[in-house]
Amino acid sequence: MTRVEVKKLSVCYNRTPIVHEISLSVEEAQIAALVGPNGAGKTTILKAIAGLIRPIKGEILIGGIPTASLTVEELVRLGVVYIPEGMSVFSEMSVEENLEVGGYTKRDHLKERIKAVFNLFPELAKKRKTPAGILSGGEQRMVTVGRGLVTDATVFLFDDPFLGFSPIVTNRFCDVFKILKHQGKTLLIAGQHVRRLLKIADKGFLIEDGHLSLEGSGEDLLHNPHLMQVLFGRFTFQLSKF
Amino acid sequence: MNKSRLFKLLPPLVWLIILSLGWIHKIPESFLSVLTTAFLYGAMATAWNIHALSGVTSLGHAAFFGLGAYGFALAISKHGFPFWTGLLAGACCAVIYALLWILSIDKLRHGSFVLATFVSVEIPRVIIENVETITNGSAGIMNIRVPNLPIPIPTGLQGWYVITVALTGILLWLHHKALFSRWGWGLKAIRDNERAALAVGVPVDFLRRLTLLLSSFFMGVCGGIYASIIGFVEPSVVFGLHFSAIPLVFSLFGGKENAWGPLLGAIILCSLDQLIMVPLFPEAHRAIYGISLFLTLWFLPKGILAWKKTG
Amino acid sequence: MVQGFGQIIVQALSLGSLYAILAIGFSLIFGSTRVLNLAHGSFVILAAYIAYFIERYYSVGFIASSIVSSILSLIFLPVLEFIGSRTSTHKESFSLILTFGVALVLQSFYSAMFSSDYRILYSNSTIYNLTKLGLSISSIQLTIILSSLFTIIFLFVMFRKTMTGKALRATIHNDEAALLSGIPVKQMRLLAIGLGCFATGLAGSLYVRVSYVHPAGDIEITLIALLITLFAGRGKIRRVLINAWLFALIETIVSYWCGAKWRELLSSLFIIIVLMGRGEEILNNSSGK
Repeated sequence: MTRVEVKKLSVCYNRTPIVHEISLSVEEAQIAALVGPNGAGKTTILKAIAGLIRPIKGEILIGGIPTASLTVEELVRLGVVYIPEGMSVFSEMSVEENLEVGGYTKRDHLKERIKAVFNLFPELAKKRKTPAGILSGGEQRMVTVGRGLVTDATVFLFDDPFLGFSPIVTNRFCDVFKILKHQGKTLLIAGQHVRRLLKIADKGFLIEDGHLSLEGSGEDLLHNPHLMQVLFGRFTFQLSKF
Repeated sequence: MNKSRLFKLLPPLVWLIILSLGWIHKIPESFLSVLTTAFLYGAMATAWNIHALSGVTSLGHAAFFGLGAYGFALAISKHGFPFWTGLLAGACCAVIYALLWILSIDKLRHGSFVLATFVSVEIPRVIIENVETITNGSAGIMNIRVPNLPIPIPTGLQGWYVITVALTGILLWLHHKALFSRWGWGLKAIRDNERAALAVGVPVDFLRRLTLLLSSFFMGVCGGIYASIIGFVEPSVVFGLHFSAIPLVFSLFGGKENAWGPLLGAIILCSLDQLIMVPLFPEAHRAIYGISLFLTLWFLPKGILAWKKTG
Repeated sequence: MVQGFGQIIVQALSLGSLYAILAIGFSLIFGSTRVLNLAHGSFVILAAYIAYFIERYYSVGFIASSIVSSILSLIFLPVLEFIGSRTSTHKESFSLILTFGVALVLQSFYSAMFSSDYRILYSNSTIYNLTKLGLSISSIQLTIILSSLFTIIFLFVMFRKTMTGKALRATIHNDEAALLSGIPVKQMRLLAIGLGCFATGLAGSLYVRVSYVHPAGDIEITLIALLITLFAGRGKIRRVLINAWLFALIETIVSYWCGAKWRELLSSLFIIIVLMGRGEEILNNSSGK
């Protein structure tokens, strides 16, 4: 069943077009990777799906429901959650409270979900009473992501989830993504870590300058010469580290 | 060439004509009193705006006004100063307080500066209310008798009219300079972007402090003139919200970036206040200033003169 | 000596509780909308007038009058919501100037409606003597301390223990992240403003019992609320109470030493000091960048 469907989406920032007529669809229990150079419009697409940006044209359907008239809050209730890049915590509140707030829309079995996040990030479990503002950058990222996981959404929109994490944590993340997938969730992940993302993704989309220029399965995309040229080009050496 | 020179001569001419109205005896008292108030308020607004042109908003000019009024009243009634020296003494009190501002809150910007100025009005008020032996406390100073002036101007209301119009003339000239002279361009640079101004060598701190001192000096003079017209000063009045508000209201209403803006705002709103609000709502007539502040911020963010140009 | 000191403490405790309740509404509104409401004193004054006239003409007690004035204080909710929703797009000076304008309008409105007479509610208050400690406390002081404590504990528990309270705090500290967690940020803001207005109404009905109310008496109240909130920081309920007590203690000591009138100087001086010290930090955090 198609969970997320984007039809001919166009978005403008201050009248400058950022995204042109992009169409994509992701099924239930699928991981989709949005890759592309910086500033290509990946974040914009995610934000449009989450309802943070209003498209000027096109339609977005979540499980068949058009979302044009829904607010961000209603979208979260519908099960769409956007996990921003960088650190976005409630700095004066404790780690535990930060996670609890994530369960604002769905409060049943909240304790178990928080426990699951603590299992995922044992670092946080030790600091559950610490104000989130005094954690290290990496730990604040964990809180940000953890809060997204607690929402118990059906569609997760991750914006650059690995940024700032060590390879070990990144590995743990990839495991979480797979678990989520097996639970029947839909994941859209945008990011710079192209190889890593495409390896775990069922579907890949290459976004270039606001256009969708390639789509296919993760493996296919990874070996596509055009993608190699656009993304790796002269940076092959640096990126191959990941 | 000829035309532009004529254009330059026009404002001083208009000013002279308005000034000369003071010698005509047939002008009705009520009309003259509204005009005097309007010009006094216009002078205050212009003085306030000279400071505001450096990119900050002050809600505390009542402090300078009140200190000017008190300095004048004390100098005249307790120490027997002549009128002009009394005015100067009042203005000096205001300038001293402005120097204290420079020493303390000089580094604040935006919201914190606005707040600090708002709060700083209370300090001279409380001190004056408490030093009862000198200032007579919260009862204020009554019966300020103004000595005769050594220059040939009419007495009574006409005299006050001439003095306020003359003061307004000086301030308009200064205000014009603060907009269009070399240092005026410096101020414009500071308003637009303080850091960039600093980078291209505009003496940011110097200019801002200079405008504050000028502004406080003239605000003090206005306070002195106010005290001499009204004949008494009272701390809760001269340090009240009202005198912090009116320069702001008039400048915003008339347009901050126009040489005539503050004066025009004062003339329009003051006439509205005196001719319409006072007869209709004698107790609440001052509400017009708050209401026009709202309407200005909503509908004419650049002032009424800008609206005329674009509309 | 010990006795005098104890009496200072009782005095400071009741004065501080009054200050806390004066500041808590201001603080809630500042937290949720980032508006430093210069008209706060005027709002308290209106509530005080309402309580005064209700008790005078309907001869009801404190509880009834404070409930009525708290509910009527909700008329300021739309004003604050309006100004608050506009501030996010403008500089904070804008909201200061706007609320300053509100204060201006209300001041002239009050002198038209209620005249400039000084009003206070005298009630024959009982004085409880704690003979063992050599202290005495009047029933008004007790009322103030108890209602202030009750309000603050209520808010504190709500903020700490309930999901709504946590969501409110989340909105105060980072509204963007709160939105992403599915919190209805606008409703939360309305709730916070409503609670703030309610506390303001309660503050007014307490204020009129211990202090004279007149149309131009708003600045003193605004300054106290401002001072305590600036010292406490955004969204700090507990610190509001502690700071209020501390400030009241300082004030009480100063007025014992230098005379009661000089204490008015303290709040202005402290505000300027705190602004010089960390004004940019508090206010810049408040603009959310």
